[in-house]
Amino acid sequence: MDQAVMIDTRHPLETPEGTDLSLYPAGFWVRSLAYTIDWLIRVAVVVATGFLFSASGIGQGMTLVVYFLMEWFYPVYFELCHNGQTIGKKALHLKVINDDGTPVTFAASLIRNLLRTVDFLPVFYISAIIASLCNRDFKRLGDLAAGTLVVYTNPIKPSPAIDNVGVRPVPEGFSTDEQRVLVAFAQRSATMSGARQAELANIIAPLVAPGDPVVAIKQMANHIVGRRADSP
Amino acid sequence: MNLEQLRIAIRPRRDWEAVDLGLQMARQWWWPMQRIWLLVTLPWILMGLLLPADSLWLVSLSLWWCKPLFERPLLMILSQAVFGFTPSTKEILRALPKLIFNQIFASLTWRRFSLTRSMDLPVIQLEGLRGKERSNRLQVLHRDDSGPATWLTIIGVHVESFLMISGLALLGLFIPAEVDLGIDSLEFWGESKTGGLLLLFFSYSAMALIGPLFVACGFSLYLNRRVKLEGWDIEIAFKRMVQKRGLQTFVLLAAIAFFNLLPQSAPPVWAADERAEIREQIIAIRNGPDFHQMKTHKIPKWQTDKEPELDSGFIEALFKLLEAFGRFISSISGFAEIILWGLVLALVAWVALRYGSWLSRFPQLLPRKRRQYYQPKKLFGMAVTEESLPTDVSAAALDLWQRQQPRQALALLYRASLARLLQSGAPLREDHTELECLKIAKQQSLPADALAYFSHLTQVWRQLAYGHELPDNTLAESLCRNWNHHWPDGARV
Repeated sequence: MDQAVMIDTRHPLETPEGTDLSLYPAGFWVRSLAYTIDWLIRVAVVVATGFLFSASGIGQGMTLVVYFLMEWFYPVYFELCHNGQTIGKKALHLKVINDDGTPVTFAASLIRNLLRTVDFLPVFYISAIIASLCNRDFKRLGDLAAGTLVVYTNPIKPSPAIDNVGVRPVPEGFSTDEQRVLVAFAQRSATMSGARQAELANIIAPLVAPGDPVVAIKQMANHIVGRRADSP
Repeated sequence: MNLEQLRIAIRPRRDWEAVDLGLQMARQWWWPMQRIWLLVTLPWILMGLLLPADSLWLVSLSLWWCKPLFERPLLMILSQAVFGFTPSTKEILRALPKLIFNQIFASLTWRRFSLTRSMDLPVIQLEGLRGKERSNRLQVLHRDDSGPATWLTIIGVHVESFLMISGLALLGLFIPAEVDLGIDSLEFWGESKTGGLLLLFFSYSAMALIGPLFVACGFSLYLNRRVKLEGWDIEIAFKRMVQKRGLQTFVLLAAIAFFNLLPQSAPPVWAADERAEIREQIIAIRNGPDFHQMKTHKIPKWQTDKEPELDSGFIEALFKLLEAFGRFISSISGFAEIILWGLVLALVAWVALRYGSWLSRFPQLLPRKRRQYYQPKKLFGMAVTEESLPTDVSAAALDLWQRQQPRQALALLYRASLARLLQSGAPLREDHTELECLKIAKQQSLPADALAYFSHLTQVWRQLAYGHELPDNTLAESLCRNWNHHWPDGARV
């Protein structure tokens, strides 16, 4: 199968230095949740302001000012001063960046948030949802105009430690990527049944012989991550 | 199942990222899925068109209720398409009865309200599990990364209804305001066939749009769990390792076989002392300056470089600040009000000074001045004050008439009448004509005979003044004599 048409969520990005970066754009499901959190916070703040100021006789004016700021500058403030994350985005491990991978700039943030008016049309961000499904990076109209991306920030869950079954040097000829796979097998074996572990390990049994391939791979993985024979 | 054929990039993903893979899959196979969805829901559309308006709700309800069944052919497409084989419409239709009737009762009754339907469907359809086996399997699958499955359903319900509302809103937006289709009335949606069909159409379209997304994302969550549980990515990588080694071993053997024919092919053998020398050289080079170059770069480090953390105290501080600000504002509010009003007045004054002359060019903008009424001293060039009149108007006029001065005689009668009218409060102005004066006189509450006299006099006077027609003697004399009778001295009408 042609590698080029593999369906993936990764947005590969090559820096001018020739380094490959991986960004993972987030789709509308998780973003709508983040938006809901932010919306609730904004409503809460506006209502609270209403209560706070209603005693002082300038309540309505102040509440309107706060409402205005919340409506238009809440996302801009958080995106610029809090690492591209509003509270809702932070809760769901999302952040806004420029689509070249750099932190979001003022102009971009302002544009993407002012254009929410357009994305909202005709009701409840339906334009945003449809627009995000029409491009690979799930950009809504504001993102397209501003050149921004919403990506995941959290790493994949840290893997459990490898069983301490001893150490064995890795035979010659295993590339870095292949060594990584050995480590991944050892780390993830905790979530796999014994039969499945054996089935997988048997595929490369000739390469890791002699001995039980499952144990052999785990021993090599221990070696790769730096455990030595005398360490506990 | 040959993982090598997979058309999706396999690796363990974050939970929400797995959902996004579902979105990408839906994007990839959108049209095949949409086509099948429209095909299997066709009976409902026919029902909608044929049934009367008052039973359309039944079509909507059954369409919604049977959604789990429509999702099955979509899953069939996806599950085969990810392995690089998209089934044809014919194949799907042939498999349809088996797909639909698989555990249909449970799916349409108590499992209809399951929030994790999208992620659970592959277990019954692809793994063919039922009963205890199924629930055990689901337990394993739901142990991790299954939170989004519930959210898919909750958000999906909302997005679906939003889609429907936006369809209606768009329709409303594009109907010109002049055209009244009766859409505003509840009756239109409730009882008319057109309204009912429109509602059905929009909810149907919304379901058609959300359906493939929902199925693909649930399937993707299911796949992600299996990738993690069974190490699919590891299997693929291991197989590649073996393939690569197989190839390399073969190449190496061939090379050895080839080079063995040549006598010089033996690798160079280093003597022991030569080796020691080389090692020393290596160490010397490694300790040399090439490997120990130090450079100091100075870059400014701003305080803001620290990643700002959003601590819980932030909101609290914000509120305290707002509170203090509110107190401050309210304490100076009286003073501030005065200042603000002062500013407003100053602004108005400045505008008036700066633009007053300009404004005067537009008299209609200025407040209309109520013109003050001054009682005129002269009308038609004749004095109409009481002082200018002789004491006995009738006698004076008759005298003038008999002295062959008819113009002066009638003029006296007329201006004397006007003077009396003015005296009685009639708002006569210098620019009024005789007829206007008569009109105004009619609006005054004059005695009927006086008014008739004045009317007659006006007519005679106009004929004389402008038409140069003398009245005959008897008429003129009667007018002169009657004046005193109709306009008694000092009469206040």
